[in-house]
Amino acid sequence: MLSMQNISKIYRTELIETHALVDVNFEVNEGDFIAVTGPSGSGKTTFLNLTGLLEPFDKGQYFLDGQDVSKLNDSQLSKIRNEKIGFIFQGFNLISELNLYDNIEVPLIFRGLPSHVRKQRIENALEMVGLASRGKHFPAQLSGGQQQRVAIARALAGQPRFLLADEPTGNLDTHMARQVMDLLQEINQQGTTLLMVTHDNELAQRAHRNIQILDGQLTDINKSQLTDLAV
Amino acid sequence: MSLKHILKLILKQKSISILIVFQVAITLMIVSNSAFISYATLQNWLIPSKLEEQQILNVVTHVYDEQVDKGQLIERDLTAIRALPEVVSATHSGEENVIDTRRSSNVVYNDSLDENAKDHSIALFGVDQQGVESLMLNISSGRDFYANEFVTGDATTTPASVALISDDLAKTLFEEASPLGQTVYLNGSKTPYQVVGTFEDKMLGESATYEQVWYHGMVIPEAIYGRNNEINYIIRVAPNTSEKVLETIETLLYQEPGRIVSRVEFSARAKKRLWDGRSSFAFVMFAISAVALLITSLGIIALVTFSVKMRHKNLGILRALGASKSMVLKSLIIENSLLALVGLVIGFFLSLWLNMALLQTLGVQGTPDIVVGILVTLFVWLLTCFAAYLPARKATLIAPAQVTKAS
Amino acid sequence: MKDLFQLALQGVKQKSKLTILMIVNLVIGITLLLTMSTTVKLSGNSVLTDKAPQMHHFSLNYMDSDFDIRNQFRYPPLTFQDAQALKNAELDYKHLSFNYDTRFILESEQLDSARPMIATASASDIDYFNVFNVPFIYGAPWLETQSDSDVIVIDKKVNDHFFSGENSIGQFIKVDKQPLKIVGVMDLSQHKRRISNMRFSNRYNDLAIVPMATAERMNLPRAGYMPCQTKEENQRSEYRQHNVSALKSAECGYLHTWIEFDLQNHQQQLAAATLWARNYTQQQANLGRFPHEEKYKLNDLQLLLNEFAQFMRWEKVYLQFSYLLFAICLVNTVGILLAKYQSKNKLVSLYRALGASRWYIVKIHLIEISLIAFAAIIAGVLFAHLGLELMFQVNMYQMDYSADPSLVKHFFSMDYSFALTSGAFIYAAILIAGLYPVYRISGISPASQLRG
Repeated sequence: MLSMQNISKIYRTELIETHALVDVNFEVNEGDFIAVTGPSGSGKTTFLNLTGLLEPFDKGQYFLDGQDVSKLNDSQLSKIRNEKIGFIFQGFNLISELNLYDNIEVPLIFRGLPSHVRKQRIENALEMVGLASRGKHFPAQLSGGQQQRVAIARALAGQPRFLLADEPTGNLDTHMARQVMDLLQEINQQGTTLLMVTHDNELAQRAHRNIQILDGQLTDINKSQLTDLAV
Repeated sequence: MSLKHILKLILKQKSISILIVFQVAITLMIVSNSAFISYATLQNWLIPSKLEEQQILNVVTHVYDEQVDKGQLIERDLTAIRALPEVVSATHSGEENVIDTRRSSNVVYNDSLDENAKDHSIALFGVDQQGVESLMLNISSGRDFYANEFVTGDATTTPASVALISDDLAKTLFEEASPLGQTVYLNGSKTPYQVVGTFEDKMLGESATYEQVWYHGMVIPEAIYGRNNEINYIIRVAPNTSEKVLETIETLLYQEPGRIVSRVEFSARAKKRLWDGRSSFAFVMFAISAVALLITSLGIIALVTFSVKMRHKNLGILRALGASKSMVLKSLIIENSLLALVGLVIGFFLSLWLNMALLQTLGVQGTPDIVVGILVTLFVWLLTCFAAYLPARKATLIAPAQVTKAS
Repeated sequence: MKDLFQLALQGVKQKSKLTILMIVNLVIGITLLLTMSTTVKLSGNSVLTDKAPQMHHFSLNYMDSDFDIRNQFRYPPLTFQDAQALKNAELDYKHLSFNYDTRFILESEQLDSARPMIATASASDIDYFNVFNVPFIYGAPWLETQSDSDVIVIDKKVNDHFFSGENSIGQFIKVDKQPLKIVGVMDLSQHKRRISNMRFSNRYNDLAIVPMATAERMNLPRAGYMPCQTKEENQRSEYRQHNVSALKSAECGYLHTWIEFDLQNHQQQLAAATLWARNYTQQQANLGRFPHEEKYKLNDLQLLLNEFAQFMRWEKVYLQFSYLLFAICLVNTVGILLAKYQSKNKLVSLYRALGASRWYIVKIHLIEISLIAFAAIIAGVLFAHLGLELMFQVNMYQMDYSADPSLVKHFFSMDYSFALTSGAFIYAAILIAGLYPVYRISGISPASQLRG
């Protein structure tokens, strides 16, 4: 469902060029659970941004659901982000001024869903992450783990084909991290494709497939190699 | 973003929101009142004078030397003036100059006996044989004066017996009936004049214009002088005559000793004088309005910039969740428009209040005009949208990728 | 201090667009405020401000009982008879002066030189020149012995017109065809208003002053405010134009009377003069005169000036708008500073981490705001010159350019001492407006913004 061919990304400043990604070739199948690991500065974040259409790339081709995204304009890209991709971030990225219900509603509104459909989906999503009846609460009133579950609910409510998680447990303690990971794994088992960027090997162990980024290049690795590379 | 979310965000940013509302309200208050006043002035300006303002000149002189024979002086003056190449025709003007009432205002009645007969303000011109031509009047019914109807002489001279009146005056005095052959009675003495013809409307009188009857005019074939020290003329010059002719005429008139030339001017200047007070008030209010608009625009730019900066992260999240640039732009502009709308509603009441206050303290009133009010409101609203657009456009440049930066 | 200054200057340069926005915003507000407040301030000024409290307009109200004194400026001038009584009263004062408005034609002695001109003028006594501090360019007032002679004091404008500005003392000028000897040339354009006739006009002032006895002898008209009892109404125009001897015994006042008291004994002298006015009018009332309820009035010039300021309603409306808009400018300043500092959080947090105290941060930003405010005030004063020039033009337009521009200009020139005080207030206002953003930025905790 996702295919990258010879993707490159260069950051230019006045003084230097940084080759963040070099000739990346990458395929993802429906229902996969892929963990991307790599040390700081290896290009993990850039890879995630490109995959999630948050940033343009310089060279190569990228097909998402068979569609060539390199030729799309901003509003078309926004539409794909909105409809096909669900994001889960390390920093949760909830809008603190809005309550949980409203937070989850934001991407559904962008999609133009009627309000009764939105209501149904929001309630389901909150139910699924175990936060039903807390829709009126504000993010600041929740623990980190709960906030991340709201972020997951927000991603799920959109019923995306493809879930992108960026260090989803990075800001959480071990106990909460485990709960969140269980939830993500469950979602994957129900059929949603999951791509996760992490430097936590324990999490990476749970994935079906492991990818490592080093100096802007991707390589498939075995689970056994994960421990060796522990940071 | 939905309206609901925008409203919630507005409520969260109370101070910024209140400031924007407050500015828009005050601006509307000032601008709408300036507009009302300016519009009232403009309406005055736009009353068609139907007058050849750049071809008809007013001359006012004072003869202070009692020894001077005024009758002969007038004859010499007119001969000299008429000999100027720029001059088409010239007349002595015994009563008023064009839009320049020299003495007390003049009124006519259509009944000499009724004590309570309504008086009608008019512009009154006592002229000689070149009068009708100098005022550039077009006879619309009846006839022009006959040569033997003109009287001339000092204050003891018997008045003429016929008159030309303007169409508008004819309609006011006689309604549907034909004015020809009717009699009008002039001023307190109720001196009778028989109407022999009518002429097409022109704005001629200063006091008549103040009385809102700018087309009421009457011309009588009298060149009577010596009621006071003034000796005045109305002169018609060729089209496109330059201002220099004023100096030429002044110099010419000063060649006669014993007199002062007080005024030689195009009737356009006299017309300007009609509305000087209001116009200048409108000018200043206009300038203050411009300042108000400018300041408010700057203020909205500043406040929206601040608001965008505060929400930098949120806007990035929205972008990542699938809001396109235009959606971000739209939601910020809608947000600002809502605030502006509240400001405009408050400003509407403030405007009415200020209108009353100006009337009470200054006696100046631009009557609130609905169309002008709507246009001004729309204009202020568009301007606030544009002011918000500048920083909002910048907000669309916030990269969605910033969400993956650890906060 | 120097390092603080440098950091502040950096602050001005950072986010230069916002700095410019802030300056522009302030300059517009300051320009408008200074323009309008200067106009209002100057209108309230008088050239005689320093002795305004000692100067009184003296009025004895001989009018009918139903006479309506519409405002402080419509108290009737003295009748000839009452003026004589006042002159002969044993009162203590510095100066007592009578004058009336007149009008005549001025002509050169030589034929076919300068054109004749109509002069608005005063007929007065010698004390007039003392009471009104009339500034002389050439010569002086006429002498006591010349009070009935054919002499005249002309204004600079007349001197310029007929004598090209040269010293014309001793020359003759024709007043209504009769030659009068010029004894003095004054410059009344230094006076902002024509006070003597209670008109307080800022459009024209006298073009000439002649001795009162001379004016009467030449039968120069009495052209000013001259209320007459109803029974005299029919003769009024006769009194104005021709018959001065009849006027002298009529119930028609035409002599504006100004009395100036000594600085020290001001109160006692005023009390004595007031007492005299009361006794005199009471005594006259017993003879059947002074039927009006309010029989006398002494108004000091200061009160009159303040009262006259009430008539400047338009200017005041402008000023109120200016205050309002300046308040909005201050609000905007707060907004701009908040926006400006929002992107500075990281830097301040770094400064704090590197050991800058909160007070140090406050100082940097207050200096930064001061620099901006200072620049804005300087620019505001400069632009206010332009604003005043525009207001001057609008005023000349309003009067159809018929007023004396040198007089009108008085009210639309920069008053630097006023600008200085206003500038100080404006500076304080800007600084106060800046307190909240500075408080916010200085509250950033060290290193709070340094992650990521």
